[in-house]
Amino acid sequence: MTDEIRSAILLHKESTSSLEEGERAELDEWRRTDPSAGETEASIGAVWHLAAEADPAGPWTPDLHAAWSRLQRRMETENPAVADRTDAPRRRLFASPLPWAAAVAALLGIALWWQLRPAAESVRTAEAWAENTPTVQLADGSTVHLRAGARLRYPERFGESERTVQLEGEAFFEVSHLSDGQPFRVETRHAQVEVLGTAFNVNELTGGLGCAVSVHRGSVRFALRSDGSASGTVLLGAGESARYDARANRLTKTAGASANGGAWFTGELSYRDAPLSRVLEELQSEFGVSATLDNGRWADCPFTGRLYRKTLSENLSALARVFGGRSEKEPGSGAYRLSGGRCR
Amino acid sequence: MDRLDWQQNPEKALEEVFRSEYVHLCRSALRLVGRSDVAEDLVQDAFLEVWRRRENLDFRISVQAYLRRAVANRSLNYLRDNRRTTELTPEISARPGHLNGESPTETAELQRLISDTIDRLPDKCREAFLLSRYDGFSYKEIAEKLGISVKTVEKHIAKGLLSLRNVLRANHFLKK
Repeated sequence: MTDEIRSAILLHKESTSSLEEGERAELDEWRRTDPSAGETEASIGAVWHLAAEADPAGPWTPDLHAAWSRLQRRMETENPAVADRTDAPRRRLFASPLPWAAAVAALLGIALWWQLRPAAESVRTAEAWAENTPTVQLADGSTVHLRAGARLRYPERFGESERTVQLEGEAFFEVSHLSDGQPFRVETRHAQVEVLGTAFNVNELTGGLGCAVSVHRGSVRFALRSDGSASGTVLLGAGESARYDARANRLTKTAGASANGGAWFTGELSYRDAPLSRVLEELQSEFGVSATLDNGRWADCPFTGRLYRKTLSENLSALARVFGGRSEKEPGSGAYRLSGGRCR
Repeated sequence: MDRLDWQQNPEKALEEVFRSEYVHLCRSALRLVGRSDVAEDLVQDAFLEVWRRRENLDFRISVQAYLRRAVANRSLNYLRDNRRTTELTPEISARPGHLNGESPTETAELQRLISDTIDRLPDKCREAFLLSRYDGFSYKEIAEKLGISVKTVEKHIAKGLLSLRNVLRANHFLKK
């Protein structure tokens, strides 16, 4: 061991109050006899201090509120003991009375809005109104998080051979894997999504325009309903998404890894080598505010990273920093513009 | 938060610990694994494990201490199974603010140098340095986690310090 390493060890041990018997004397001796001891001590001390200030974790802090909500969901879905507690409703369909009223209303009006297959035994309906995104726990332990405007129809108990629910609108599914491999199906007007145990988002596009599916974990089979008007099946793995365009009658897998269809629920947008133009497109869609690129050459710049649903401004600033550019809000219109910078 | 709280209202007890510890634990995991999404997953899993074991918690050690160890262990296990990624992410690449005496530009450069130098250290050296500098684990605790001797931990940390000093000197952040 070199003297330099030994002296660094002793200095570090002293700073962390870890000196062992005899090491104090060794350190004092080094300080007395080595003419460069003072300089070494000052530089090692400065490095230890600077390393603390320049924390490699940077300024990042997770979204505590979203994280606690996520943990609560996992506590409920992965450990049934929560639902069995006496102070919690056995089936936590909704968190507040208002959505319960909504669900009752939906049950009464079921024939008006649902035109799928004939009702099975003990079918329930859940509906999400604005300001509420209720979570439905299914009999098999699977969880469905409804986005505002969505309606879910599901049996109180599943049959022995299949688990099928029907969805209008958009929802994020966390499906329990059953030991007998019983598949789980989500039916929409146009398509059927079949899975074994995974998390994914299904969005039945408004106006009958089609259906989009994003997979977060596991894999799914996204198939058009066999109604004679269209056919096609696509297999999607984690991080993949696909979209059925009803007007063009075309089912296409999104190029490049992207599973941001569930961003409204997961709270994050994830990218791997995604062109910046697509990142901006999705941010615009999420926040409903225009964001454009000043420099057209940026459009194809690949971006890898995660953006969180804080504010559009924060996300654009983060992108600008990555590419060395600027994010500016245009006076009057409220739209944003990214300028300067270069591909990295 | 004591045993009674955990028995009477475990969800509230967990939430209290979660709100005080989650951010700190996520940042600890992020330094080791280099990805914020993975860091959050690891910390969530540690909390979920506490929840599953809530009826058998050992109150001789605090839940906070358990979580701190669990997150470090889970992060190191993750690194054993997955190559550490150093890909550019907004959270890590963007570091506003500045240290005492430096301009924001100098501060950003200093942070980049320190982060890059730590990233380039050999695995065990980097892990020992991070666990000591940012999480305050003792030599003995680090040795147990990394499966190496205390003497080796001492050497790793010293080498990390000297590597950083050399880089900062070469870039004129420290006098030669």
